Amino acid sequence: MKKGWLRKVGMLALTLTMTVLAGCSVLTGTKASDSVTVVGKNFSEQDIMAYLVGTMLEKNTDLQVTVKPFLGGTDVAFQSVKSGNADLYVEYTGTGLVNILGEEVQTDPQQVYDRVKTAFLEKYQLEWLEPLGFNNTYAIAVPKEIAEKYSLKTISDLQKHAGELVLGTEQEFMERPDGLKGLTALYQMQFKDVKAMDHGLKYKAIAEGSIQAIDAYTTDGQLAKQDLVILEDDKHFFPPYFAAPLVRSETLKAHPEIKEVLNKLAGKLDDKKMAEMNAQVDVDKKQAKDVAEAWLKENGLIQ
Amino acid sequence: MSEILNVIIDRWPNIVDATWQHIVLSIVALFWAIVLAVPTGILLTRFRKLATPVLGFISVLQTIPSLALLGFMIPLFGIGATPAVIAMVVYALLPIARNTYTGILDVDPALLEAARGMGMTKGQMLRMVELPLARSVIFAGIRTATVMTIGVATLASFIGAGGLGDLILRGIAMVDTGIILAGAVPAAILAILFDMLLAWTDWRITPKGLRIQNRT
Amino acid sequence: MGNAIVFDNVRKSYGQKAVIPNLNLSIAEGTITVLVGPSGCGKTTTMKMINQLIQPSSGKIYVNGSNALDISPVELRRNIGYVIQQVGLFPHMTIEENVTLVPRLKKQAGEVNREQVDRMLQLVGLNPDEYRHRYPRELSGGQQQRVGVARALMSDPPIVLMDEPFSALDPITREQLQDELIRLNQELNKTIVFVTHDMDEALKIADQIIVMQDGHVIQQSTPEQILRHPANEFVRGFIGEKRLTSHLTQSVDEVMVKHPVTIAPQKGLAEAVKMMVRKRVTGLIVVDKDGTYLGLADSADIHARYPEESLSIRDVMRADAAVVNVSTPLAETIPLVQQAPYGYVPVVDDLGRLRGLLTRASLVDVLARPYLEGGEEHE
Repeated sequence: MKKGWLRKVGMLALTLTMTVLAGCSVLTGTKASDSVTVVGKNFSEQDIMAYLVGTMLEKNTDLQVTVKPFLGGTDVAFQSVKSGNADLYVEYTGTGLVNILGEEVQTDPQQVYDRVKTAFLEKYQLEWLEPLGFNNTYAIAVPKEIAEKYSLKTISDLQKHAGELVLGTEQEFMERPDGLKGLTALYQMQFKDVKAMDHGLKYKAIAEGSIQAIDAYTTDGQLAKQDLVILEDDKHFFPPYFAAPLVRSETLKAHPEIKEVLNKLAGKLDDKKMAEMNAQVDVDKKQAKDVAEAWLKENGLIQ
Repeated sequence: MSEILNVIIDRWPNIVDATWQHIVLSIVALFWAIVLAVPTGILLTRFRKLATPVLGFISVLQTIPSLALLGFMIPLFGIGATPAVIAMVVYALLPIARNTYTGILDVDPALLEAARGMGMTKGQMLRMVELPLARSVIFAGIRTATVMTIGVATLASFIGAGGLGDLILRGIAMVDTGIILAGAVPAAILAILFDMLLAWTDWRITPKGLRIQNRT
Repeated sequence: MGNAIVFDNVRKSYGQKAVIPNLNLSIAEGTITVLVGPSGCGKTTTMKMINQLIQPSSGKIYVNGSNALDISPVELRRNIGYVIQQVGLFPHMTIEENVTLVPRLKKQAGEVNREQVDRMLQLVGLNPDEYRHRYPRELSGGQQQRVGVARALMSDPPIVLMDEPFSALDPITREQLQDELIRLNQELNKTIVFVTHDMDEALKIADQIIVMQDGHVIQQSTPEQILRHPANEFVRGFIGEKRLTSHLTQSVDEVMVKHPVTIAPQKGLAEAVKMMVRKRVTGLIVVDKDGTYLGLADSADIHARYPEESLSIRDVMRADAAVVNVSTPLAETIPLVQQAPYGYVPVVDDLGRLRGLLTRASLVDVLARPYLEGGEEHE
């Protein structure tokens, strides 16, 4: 844990430094009217998104594209675009609704999308383009054998058997309003035990059988690598976190081709494909940029 | 400030539980670290050729990142307190073993010669001369290990063993300073208290004859 | 009187190198036997083989009649006292705990005899009530070694080994402890094997001296016989450069007192008395401001005329006392010093300036030497 701490502190320092550096260069960089800056938050999926969107624009428009991945948390990415230091990034609808707008959790994907689209345009002059297709929300996953043994397909199916299963979750899931407490209340279930643990160790522990269920992100790379079954959230407890490009209105006015090009991505990327791409980065240690470009080529979106 | 106060009031039972888990984990880990490291240190003084490789190996163990170490242990020990305590023991071994080894080696050779010449057996020399005289150095190692272990104990929350790390990690995830402090402050207080307690114990059990500075 | 310790064809080698090639030796019961020699001569190795701190490579060592190699080393050591140069008192134990260590190791029945502790501390000149509960670090080096000796004697061992026990002490303390060791052994009659590199110490305390060189015994004899009949040049050399240096080759300059107490001629008698009291001398040398010798002012002369307040030193000094030139051969000065009225003769240079003082005490070494040398020459 000492090392873990060091790493955490190091990461924090690195993130801060990079944020400041990125901020500075963005601030001081003279913004030619035909250039756009794409940023990303500080985790692998966002790296892939930043390069995916960036490369898409670079190859399909005449714009000068700068990609600044791993900028920081939601706050940092959002502020940089809102203030005009950057032009766009890929945001999740649920995050927009809850974390940025500070509104109540909603479960209908279309309602959430419509709400953020209207509110962001009004409040921040930012426009949500068409969602890319995947929904990076929470999910409950169990090993295939367990799913078969208890015939589990939905979270409701868990109700009868939760008492026999140990759930491994991240510390954050224990804390969030759309986390464990709400989930067990809505589905009326009680796990045999709940162990709060590290994200990576959680996947290791479920592989070893120390735990039988986990909280997961629907696009986790490990889901693709391990034989885990995602149980359907049949009562729609977890709010939608559909990913969509979030662009400055001003930029769109100057370069309407951005909207046209990026909307070609709409609905092209499902949870499973996103999880695979995350796995390529997290597990196979490939470069996010290469993974993004490979997918774009595969789908004929770039040459 | 009142926000932090609210966190403390809201989560008081939570904080007490986590602190208690933290203390138990730390004490159990320290107990085993002492039980393993002190005899190891003593044995190394008997087989000095092994000292460099063995202490080197223990140092290398210390450089393993905690997540990697815990990940390695899941297949062997599963999750929960057992792997957490084992990882904590691994990290606490070095200061205790190293101080035991050097503490005993630093005992004045003239005293050992006198002890041998008086007809002490090896066991008597260890018990009556080497350990009492190396005790303060060994104790310093235990103190270092204790303060370290209380910090390291936050790793327990990576593997479902609870402790104050739970609060700290949740606080970090939620960007909630109040929760972070609700975990970090008790951990810091624990470290200070344990250190003071050990310093006091050390002073209490130091024979009077060793508290006196040399006349010359 | 039997032999307490016998070495029978003992050899000690480290690899190819024989530190002790072949040693035969007997040490008589109840004596102080001193092993003496330069460092590396094998004296310490020899001593440590007695209590098996060092194992001989071959040969037999008999301690009190039985082969020491048949006894467990721990058992053997508990019955042989051991005192080392660094003292080796355990700092975490009180004086009493240190002294009673060997009986405690032997687990002698019941409580350790308090009276015995007191007796031991008294024996080595320490007040038991004052020192019993103190700790080694509270004691001076000399006091610590007294405790070291008490510790070695506590379980009443017939044999005591002492490895340069007094070498680290200041000369005055060392003399005291040597005296006490001699006195102590007249009382206790232990067999004491004492290692030193200091021939003066050996001559002073030994009943028997064993001179060693390169692992061999060169001479084993009484101090008297060693002095009178050194076995060879090595022993003679080791007895002491200063003892054997011919007095004829020494100069006045080497033996004289360098800075005698002087006084200016114009000083009053009261001042002179005060100075003699302060410097603790019985006479003063009168010199002028250039350091030229003028005469001697002895306390008897000064006191005789003390009531005459107007007198100065010039009026009472003796200008006619004998003086010697600094270049005079030492031999020629001996009769002068012996006949000098006050027992001392001023030394002057060619210009008449005071250089020093020859006293009877400063000539003792020179005066004693001819007798010792004569003894050898007539062998």
